[in-house]
Amino acid sequence: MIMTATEKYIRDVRRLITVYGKNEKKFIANLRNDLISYCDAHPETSDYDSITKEFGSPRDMYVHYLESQDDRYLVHSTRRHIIIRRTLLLLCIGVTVIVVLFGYHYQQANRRFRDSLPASYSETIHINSSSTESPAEESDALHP
Amino acid sequence: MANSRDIYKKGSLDLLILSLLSVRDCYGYELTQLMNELSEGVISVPSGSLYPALYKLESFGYISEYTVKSGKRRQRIYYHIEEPGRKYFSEQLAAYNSVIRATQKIFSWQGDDHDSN
Repeated sequence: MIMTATEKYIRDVRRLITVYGKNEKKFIANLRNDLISYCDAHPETSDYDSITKEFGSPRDMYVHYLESQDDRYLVHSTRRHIIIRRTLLLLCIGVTVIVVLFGYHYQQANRRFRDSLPASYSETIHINSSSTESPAEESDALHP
Repeated sequence: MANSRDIYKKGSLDLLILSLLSVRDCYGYELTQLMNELSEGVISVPSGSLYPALYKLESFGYISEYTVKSGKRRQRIYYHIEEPGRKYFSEQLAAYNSVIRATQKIFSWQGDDHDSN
């Protein structure tokens, strides 16, 4: 029960964090320790509402976190977020183009292969009469 | 609009942290609780504000952290003030006190003869 409320609160704060860097990871770990300390000190009131009353809503928590950040850090992390998003977008476009090109070439190669096959062919089997001797006759011939 | 107390708090949070750590090593939640208790509820610092300030002080080498295992699953991260932190604290405290004195002088000004002339 205690873990559920704590983890739910942590999850709600994490959901709000857009850029999850080293500092954010550390902040979440510290916040988790604080929540556990609070729950241990107040085992009778360690539900989600009590946690919210003590620590503020997850949104408030994140707003406080952002407000206390250095301007340079905020600009840097926002820029990094944009770069990561653009890189992922380019990667998706690249993968899509490669898949489309590969599919097209595969289809072309498949068609060329099918075109290179003759539409029909005939096979004639000639049976030589001399090769139809019985095994007994063959044996006599070998061991006279 | 931000609470007026928050505005004053923001500028002095580093000082408050260093002041408490100069007495003894504390973990994060302990710092927020101490600030709340000692200020009789006037200053309440949420974890969201405390940790960025701690990380900043740590990056400047004013404080350091160490982990103490407490119980089976819990680890407490204690913060310790370093020598540069003590020096910075005493400098900033002197500056803070001079600003307070100067502010008090401005607040207590009642006008002078220059105006009446």
